[in-house]
Formats: sequence, C-alpha cells, structure tokens
Amino acid sequence: MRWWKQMGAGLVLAGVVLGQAFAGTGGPVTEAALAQGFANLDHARRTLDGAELKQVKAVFSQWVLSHPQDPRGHYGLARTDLFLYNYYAHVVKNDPVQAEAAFTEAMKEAKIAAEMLPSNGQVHALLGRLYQIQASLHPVSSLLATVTTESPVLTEFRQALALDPDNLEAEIGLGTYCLFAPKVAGGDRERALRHFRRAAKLDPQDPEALTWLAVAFREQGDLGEARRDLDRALALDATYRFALNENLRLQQAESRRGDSSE
Amino acid sequence: MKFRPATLALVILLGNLLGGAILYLYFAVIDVSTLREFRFAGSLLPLLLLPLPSVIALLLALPYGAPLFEYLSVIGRPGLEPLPETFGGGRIIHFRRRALRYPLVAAAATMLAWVVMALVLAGVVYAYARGYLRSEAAEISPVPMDASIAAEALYQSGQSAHRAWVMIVQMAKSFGLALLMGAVASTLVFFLCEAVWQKQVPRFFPQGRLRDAHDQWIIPVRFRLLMIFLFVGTAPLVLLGILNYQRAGRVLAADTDAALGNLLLSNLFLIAVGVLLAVALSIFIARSVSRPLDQFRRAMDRVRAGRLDTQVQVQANDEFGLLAEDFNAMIQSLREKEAAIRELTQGLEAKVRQRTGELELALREQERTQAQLIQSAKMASLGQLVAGIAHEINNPLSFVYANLDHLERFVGKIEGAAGEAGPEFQETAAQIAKLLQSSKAGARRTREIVQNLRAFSRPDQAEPRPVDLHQGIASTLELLRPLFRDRITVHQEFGRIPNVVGLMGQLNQVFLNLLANAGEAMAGPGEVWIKTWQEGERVHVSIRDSGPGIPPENLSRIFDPFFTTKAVGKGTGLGLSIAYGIVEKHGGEIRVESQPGQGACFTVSLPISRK
Repeated sequence: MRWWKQMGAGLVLAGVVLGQAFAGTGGPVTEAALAQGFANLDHARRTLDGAELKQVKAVFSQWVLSHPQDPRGHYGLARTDLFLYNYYAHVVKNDPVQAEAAFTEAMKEAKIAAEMLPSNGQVHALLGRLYQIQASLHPVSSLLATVTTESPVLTEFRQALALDPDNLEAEIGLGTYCLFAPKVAGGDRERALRHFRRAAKLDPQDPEALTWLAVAFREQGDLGEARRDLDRALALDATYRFALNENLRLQQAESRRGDSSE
Repeated sequence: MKFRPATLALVILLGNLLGGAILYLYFAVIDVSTLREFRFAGSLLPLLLLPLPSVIALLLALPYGAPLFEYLSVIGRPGLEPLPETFGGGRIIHFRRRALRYPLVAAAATMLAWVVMALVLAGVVYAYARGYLRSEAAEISPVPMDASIAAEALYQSGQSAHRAWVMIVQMAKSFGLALLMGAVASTLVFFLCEAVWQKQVPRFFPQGRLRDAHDQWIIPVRFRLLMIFLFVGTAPLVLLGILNYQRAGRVLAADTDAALGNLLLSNLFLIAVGVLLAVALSIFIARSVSRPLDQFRRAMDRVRAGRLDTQVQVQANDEFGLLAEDFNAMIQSLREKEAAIRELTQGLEAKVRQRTGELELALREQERTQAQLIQSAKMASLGQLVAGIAHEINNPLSFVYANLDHLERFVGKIEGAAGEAGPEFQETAAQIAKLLQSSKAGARRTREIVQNLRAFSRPDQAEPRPVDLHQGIASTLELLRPLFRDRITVHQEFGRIPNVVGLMGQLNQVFLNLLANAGEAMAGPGEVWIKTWQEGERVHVSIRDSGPGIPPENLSRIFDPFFTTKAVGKGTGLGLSIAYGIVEKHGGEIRVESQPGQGACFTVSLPISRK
C-alpha cells in the first residue's frame, strides 16, 4: 500500500475522530460530505485530476467557512492545495500563478491546522512536505538559511516522526532531505538510506520507498543495490512513473560506468 | 641605476599574472570539477579573465606614482632644486609619504583588483550555473501522468537543491581562491615593488633621513613578518578548508573512484604550493633580516678596528633603515667627538711641552740669576776690595813713581859729581842709575797693574753706556797674563767694530770667564784666537782655543749652572752660566762649537744698541 493510501486512510480516520470531537457544530457541509471530500481527495491525488481537486477544495473551503475551528477542514484544504500545486506545477505547467497561489494557501492552512493540532504527526508531515517544496522553489536562499538555523523541513519531519513513528510520509521526507541536503545543512546519505529502508519496511508493497532506496544507492555510486531495489519497485508496480524515470536514470549511470570501466 | 617606471609596472604585472596563472592552473589541472560541471572544460574562456587584475592594479598603482616618477626623471637635470628639507609645506610631506608608501599602495591596488576578480569570477560561475540549476527533463518516461509526479518533483527539487549547493560551493571556492591568489599576488607585488623602489625612496630625502617629526611613515618589520607568517601559515589551511566543502560535493556526486584520486592530488598540490611558498618566503625573510644584520656586524667590526668613516648602507623602509640612519648618525657623532678629543689632546700635549719648557727656562734662569747674584755680589765685594787695594797701592805708588823721577835727576847730578870723585863712585853711580831704571820700570808696571785692576773692578754703571770691547778684552788679557804667561800664545784679530751699549764690568766678566776657561782647558802650551767683527747691527767676538774640545754629550749642558768637568774644588760651574746670563741680558747670544780634539770656539754676539 502506498503511503498515499495510508495517508488517505489516515485522513478518513482523522475525519471520523475529529468529527466526533467537533460533533454538533453543524453547517452547510455535513459530516458525511466532509468524509466524502476526504475520499474524493484520495482519489484525486492519485489521478491529479484538476476538476476533481477543485471540487474537493470547494467542499473543504465551505467546511472551513462553517467550521473555522475545525482542524479537519484546514488540514483537508491544505492537502487539496498541495495536490493542486502539483497539478498546476507539473501537469498544467504553464500556470505558475495558480501554482503559487495554491502553494501559498496550502502553507497557510497547514500552519493553522498545526496550531490547532500541534501533536498530530500527519499535520507536521504535511508541513514538512510544504517546506520541502518551498526550499525547492528557492534553493539558494533556503540553503544559505540552513547555515545558521536548522531547516524547517528537518524540524517538521522529525516532529512528525516523534509524534507518529510509523509516519511513512515523514520517513520518506526525511530520507529525501538527508539525500540531497549538503552536510552543513544536515545531509547524510547513510542516514537517508536508513530512512528509506525503514519506509520500505513500513510498507513493503510501496514502490516509492523502494524507488527512493534505489535513488539513494545510485547517488552513492552503488549501482548494484540500486538496480536490485528498483527492480523490486518495478515488480510491485511496473507502471509506476517515478520508478520508470529512475530506471532510465539508472540505466544512464550504468551505461556511463560501463563506458568508464571499458 | 636609472629608474624606469616600466620596471615597476613589470613587477606589478608579473605578480598579478603569476597569481592568475596559479588560479588558472588550479582550476584547469587540479580542480577540474568546476570547469567540468559548468562546462568550462577545454575552454580557453577563463584565460580571458587572467589579465583583469593586472590591468586594474596597473590602472590604480601607476597614476598614484606618476608624480614620483616625474620627479625622479627630472631630478638629475642641472638647476633643479631638490625637495626642501623643511616641513613647511604640507605638499612636500604628502609627496614624501607617497614615496614611502608606494609599495604598500601597489599591493593594496593589487588586492583590490583581485577582489574585483573574485567577484567577477563568482559572477561568471553563477551565470554558467543558472542553466545547471534548472531541473532536467521530468518527462523522461512515456508513462502517463499519475500521482508519482509528486515523488518525481521531489527528486527534481532535491537535485536542484544539491546543484544549488554545488554552485554555492563553487562560487565560494572561486571567490575564496581568487582572494587567496590576491593575497599571494599582493604579497609578491609588495616585496618585488619594494625591492625595486627602495633604492629610489632616499632620493626624496636630500639629507638622507627617512624620518623626522612629520615624515615618519615606515612599515615595521613586525608587521611584515606577521603578514608573511600569517599568509604562509594560513594559505594552505584556507585552501584545504575550501576543499572540505568541495569534498562534500564530490562525495555526493561521486560516481567513480577517480574523484577521490583527484581530491588527493589537489590536496598534494596545495600542500606543495604551501611548502614552496613557505620555503621561498622563509628564505626571503631570512635574507631580508640577516643581510642588514650582517652589514651592521661588519660595520661594527670596522668601527672596532678604529675606522670611523664607516657607513652602513641599508636602504630599507623599516626599522633596519631607521637603525642604519641612527647608526650612521652615531658614528658621525663619534667621529666628531674623536676628532675633538684628538685636537684637545694634541693641544694639551703642546701646552704641556710649552709649559714644561717655560718652567725649565724659568728654573734655569732662576738658577742663573741666583748664581749671577752670588757671583755679582762676590765680584762686587772683590771689586771693592781690589779697588780699595788698588787705591791704597796707587797712592804710595804715585809717591814712589814721582820720587823716582826726582831720584833719577838727583842720581844724575850724583853721577856727574862721581865722575869727578873717582872711578869707584862712577861705577856705583852707574849701578844706581840702572837700579833706578829697573825700579822705575817696576813702578810703571805696578801702576799699570793697579790701573787695570781699577779699570776691571770699576763699579757697574747704573745705566748702560757705550763700551769699547777691544779695551775690555785687552784689560782682561792683562789680568790673565799670569795664567797665560809664555804657555799660551794669544792671537788677536780685531776688526773694526763700534762700541756696544752695555755694562762694561759685566761684559769684561764674560770675556774673563771665556778666556780663563780657554786657558784652563789647555794644560800645556796652546793658542788662543780672539776675533772681532761686525755683521749688520751686531758685533761678534769669537774666542777659540786649541784645547781638547768639549765632548758632544756636554755641549748642551755647559751653560747650565753648577755644571763643571773640573775636579772638586777647582771650579764652581758658574762661569759659563754667568756669561750666558750676561750676554742674554744684553740682548745677545752666545754659541759654542766644538769637536773633540779640535778645541772649542765661543762666539758672543751682541747688538750694537740696546732696544
């Protein structure tokens, strides 16, 4: 099961739990509609269907308007905006304004949710993910900032894991951070490998963790291990896009090494 | 040596190009990652940047020195007034300070040029890295879009962050290395420039002083050494520190073992550069310190050997230069004082000699005067006695002499009567006549002796009067007749001489002493030659004998009082001393010439008139 599924189940569970906590608040969107919104979100994030994502966003927006103190709405809205950002940035590609607006709103709602639910690992994992995107948008300034202070990506993912040790998103997020960050900013490839291995253990059927493991091994120069893990990922899902892309990169690396060894 | 600004420009150019060459070699040969990652590998484009620091440094440094070069180019022309020594004009002080600080300004200009170079280099790296920062094509898979795009995006963003870090590292490395090369080039330019410029600096100071109340502006050795040791000590560490950043990037991007080998090679290169720099600069520093010290040591050896014309030729714009000035000033002062002391000593010795001579003369004079006084008193008493005796003798002698005439007349009458009385009476009368003649001759002789005694012992006149020297000599000879008798033959060769103004008695005593000495010097028969003559305003009397002469060792002492070669009790040793004193008092002089076995000749020289 992919961590997205885990996250979706978590979202549903969170909806139920938080719904009980906030039962009786009432509003234009009913609890059932909210639960349906989370279900639709889980579906839309897999297809990155823009129209569906917008519909889900409308549900969560209405819920937030009617239940401003309900963290579920803020969390759902933040998640929806994150997926919308992915949609605008990587699917539509030519709408940076919408992408930025989606990202900004996602960050705002996630922070509100984190304030309301400071002990929720999923919320901190979401924040960590958003900070990771922010760092990718401004790589130089983010790197320079980490010279003096710890990266918020690291902080949020660590907090998520501290609150929820089995949080797959935080485990992979930490792994990716450790993989690409320089040493002065907390980068550590061995540590990245440990996080990816643990992620693969948490969900052995998830090709993403195995693919990240392959990426880490490739970056470290261990192409054999990379090939073994990538083959396992492709065996789980032969159409998994990230794994297929990594397969091409790995093949290029293997080709370069073959050339150099010859 | 004629100064050429081109030499200075060449030195600045050389230092900067050397720094540029090291930088290029580092990136082209050792740290190939930078050029490779930013696609500079094999490109000659970075070479275009090499002249940049040189141009900037020259543009900054040469205009600063332009007035100095102009001054140096015209200073040799006739009629050009050198810079005044006074500090009245602020422009002169500024001019001198400019001359003193020129090497430092050249080094600062070089450093500034390399700061620009570092910024430009970092800018070039950034410009080339912008494309590198862009994510590679995400659509490398033909698979339709799905949710895994988020993972792919995460991967791409991670790669971007990594590349951004690599870019920052490369920019920092380029910037830092350029600054480091700037430090190397500045140090080189400073020392090369100073080596060329040092000889020119003293020409701005006509009196050879590098400092006064206003012109003091040196670069102390402690700062130079600190700068050099800091540079030599830290340069390899800084480079290795930069490499540590590079290493992180290399390990992250490592796909072959060659990267590690490359890293080791670059470390070795930096260590080798550091060692070479340290050795070269250590030798330079050691020489820069030991050479002036050696010059001082040699100079001190020469000074110790008494050569106070020593000068230390240290032309350095630091403590050694100031020390050389102080040393030279000290030697100059020492030379002046030594000359003053020598002059003082010589004057003192001359004064001592003069005073000693004066004292000896005074002592001799005193002794002579004392002896003369004694002799004069003795002679005065003797003269009075002789005069009294002569007077007493002269009176009865006059009776005798007068009576002898009467007696002769009476005897003549008796002799006429005796012829009539008989032959016996005639013979007796004849014998009486003979006796009378003999008595008369004796009386005449006695009268002459008495007259001579009176003449010789005549009391001195109070005032000097003209004296007939011939008469004085004759009277003296008459007195000495008993001494000379037939034993000594006296030859007189009197010339035509005028009377000499003086005291007759004293002059007679001079002749008496000289003639008596001559007579006593000859034990047996001998001869004495007396000669008088006139030369100009002086009258000379020489008395020469045929005696044994005076030994040479005694010649200088014969006029000393109480000096005598005669047996004890035979002579007082005062005769010649008194004669010397009398002659000197008369304004004359007395000389003696003598050869052993050939007699002695005393020559008295007297002025005709006393002034």
